[in-house]
Amino acid sequence: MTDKQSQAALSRFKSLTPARVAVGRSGSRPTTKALLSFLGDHAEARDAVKSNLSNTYVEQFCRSYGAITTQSKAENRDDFILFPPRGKRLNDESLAALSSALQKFHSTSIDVCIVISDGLSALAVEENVSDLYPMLIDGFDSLNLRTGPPVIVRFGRVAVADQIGQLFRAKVVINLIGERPGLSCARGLSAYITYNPHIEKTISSDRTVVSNIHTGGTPPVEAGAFIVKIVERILEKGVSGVRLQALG
Amino acid sequence: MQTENCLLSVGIDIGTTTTHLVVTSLKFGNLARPTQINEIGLTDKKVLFQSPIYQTPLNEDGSIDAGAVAALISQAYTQAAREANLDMQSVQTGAVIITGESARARNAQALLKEIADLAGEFVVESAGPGLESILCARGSGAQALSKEQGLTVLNVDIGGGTSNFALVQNGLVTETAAMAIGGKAIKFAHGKLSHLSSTASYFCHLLELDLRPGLTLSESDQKLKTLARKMANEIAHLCSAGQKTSDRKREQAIDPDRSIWLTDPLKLKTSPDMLLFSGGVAQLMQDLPQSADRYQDFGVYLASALIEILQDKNIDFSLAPDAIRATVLGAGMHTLQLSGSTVGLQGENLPLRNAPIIKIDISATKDLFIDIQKALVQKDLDWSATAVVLALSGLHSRQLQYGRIKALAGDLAAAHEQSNACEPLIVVIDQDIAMALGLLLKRLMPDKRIISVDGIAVRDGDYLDIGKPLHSNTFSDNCTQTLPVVVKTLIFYKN
Repeated sequence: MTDKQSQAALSRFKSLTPARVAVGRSGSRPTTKALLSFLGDHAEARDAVKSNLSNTYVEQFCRSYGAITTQSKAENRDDFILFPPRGKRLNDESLAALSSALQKFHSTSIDVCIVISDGLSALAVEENVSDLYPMLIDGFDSLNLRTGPPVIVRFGRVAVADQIGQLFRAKVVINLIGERPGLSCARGLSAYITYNPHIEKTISSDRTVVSNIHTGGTPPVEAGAFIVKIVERILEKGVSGVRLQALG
Repeated sequence: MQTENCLLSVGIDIGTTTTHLVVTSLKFGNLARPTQINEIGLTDKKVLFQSPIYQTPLNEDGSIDAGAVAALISQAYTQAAREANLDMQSVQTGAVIITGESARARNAQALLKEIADLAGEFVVESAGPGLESILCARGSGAQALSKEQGLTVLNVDIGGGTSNFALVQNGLVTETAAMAIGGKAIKFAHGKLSHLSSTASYFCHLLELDLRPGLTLSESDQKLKTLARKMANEIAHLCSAGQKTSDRKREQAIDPDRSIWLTDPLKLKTSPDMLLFSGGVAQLMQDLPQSADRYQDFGVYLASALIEILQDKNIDFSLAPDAIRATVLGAGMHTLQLSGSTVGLQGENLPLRNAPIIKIDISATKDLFIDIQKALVQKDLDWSATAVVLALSGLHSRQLQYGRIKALAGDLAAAHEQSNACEPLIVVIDQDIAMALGLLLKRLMPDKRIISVDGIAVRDGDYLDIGKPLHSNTFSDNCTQTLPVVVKTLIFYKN
């Protein structure tokens, strides 16, 4: 192989991954270009973690889909990051508001409850949920599954959906949550899907996950259609998470 | 679990010279990481049975004896069942590939009729030179090698009647071509020359060699060697085109001789890193027989001339393992090369064969219905009678908003309705949104059958075969259904 050919092969292999491979070096240090891109991506990740759902976004989403806005026990972004367990439960005020809003639903059963949490990247929610959510609604409507109003949680973690799902008495709860940003993507969304959610009994392995939802990964619309199929199967089998996987 | 993820596949190659069959076990798995949408792909293949290499039976007039071929295949089936202890009833997929000279129209028609029963569920194709070149590159291992090592590989498959070239870059076949040079250029019988192909006659004329049926091998030996060197030179010249050889002048002097090409001559825009030979003649190059007339043809002459010339020119080359079976191995894998996710589909109307593909650029379209109608008229297709594949392209990955996809689904459903088109509605899209598009379409046309596929590359004018869905219990997760899909590029021989 000539050097030119090795270069061509190398750049192809590099193109297969967004990871920082074969970036070169200058002596024992990274090249300026590699260093700058690292610092840039790191800053973007930090911004994502510190980002909050904008009021405009939340208001617009509520207007379009009749969402209920809530907050976890964390008081603000710093509190949420410093004391992670607080993100797992709703604060009392939200709990009360949610309970009263749910009064009218309890006469009929809800199949799927959809929770939207900022998690560690509110940017991910703002960027992806607008395309993903309507796909879910269309898909569940096609399957004649009943969904409740979507619940937005500020400073929410994955497990907060157990509490909300249980409150709804939903068969399945979906938590659309901003992923912990990496150095190659700060706007990735995940969907955690749990059958029969319960505040105490549900554990991590009960959840089925669809991750890496963003423009450069699984497009949000396609992820929506995929989640619908997963929920259909979860309802058919009556399990989620590793037990669903074990069914083959 | 192991066996559940395997499919039994049969590949049958009916070529100019030889006919043979392989039974392969294809293993599938999910290539995607956990928590990602499934991506079912071939993870492993194991050859379970190889038939002997039969001479393709011919009629008096040189056409293929289709009845005898069918008999050979059923004989091979019996043998496979007995020797490899296989239940041939459980063969789920496969391909019959009619290659080289056999692919000429009259032969192909007759063959298709005879083997239809045997291979009812199979994809049956008469491979044009383009497809055959691709299959060879797949079966010889050139494609895998190129993909894994980032190499540009030129695969040269020299069979009985044709030589097929395929340039593979990063696992993708970027150029194909075929020329009418092969081991059966001259046939021998009882120590004498018995038949010269038109290419052989052409070269004899060019070189002023007196070779004709009836001459003995011993008196023609030198002339045969000269002819073989000329032919080998034609091939070696191509292989060296990209490499830095010392005598540039000489190369420029050799203009591609169009009359021996079955396709447009091969043009190498990129120089290959590696040269790989497959096919019957490559098999001979590997293990050169002592006697020149071992196979009653010119193959041994051609093989030894090739080795000599490549060595003279200092051109490195490799020989494919199992060279002669490259096409048939490629064919067995071929059917399941591609798969996509689908929605709203019932298996009973599959397989679907030869659905013509029309390509539509949706970034440029103002009225999808009109654009589709234009394309249909241009290709003289009647959508109400023929299921047409709409291959949509032009959406950027930043344009996959819900609203846009929903509008697209609306336009598609309206166009299907207005065209009074037949079922199923088949859509292939070049972005990863087939499931979403299928779901939205299904909502708009709940009574219609819809096949929505992504992850495959098609070209305008290609044809699509869609097989029955693979058994849902075959895979660990049946959230996405996988269909065997074959894209056929039908480029027929010039005559």
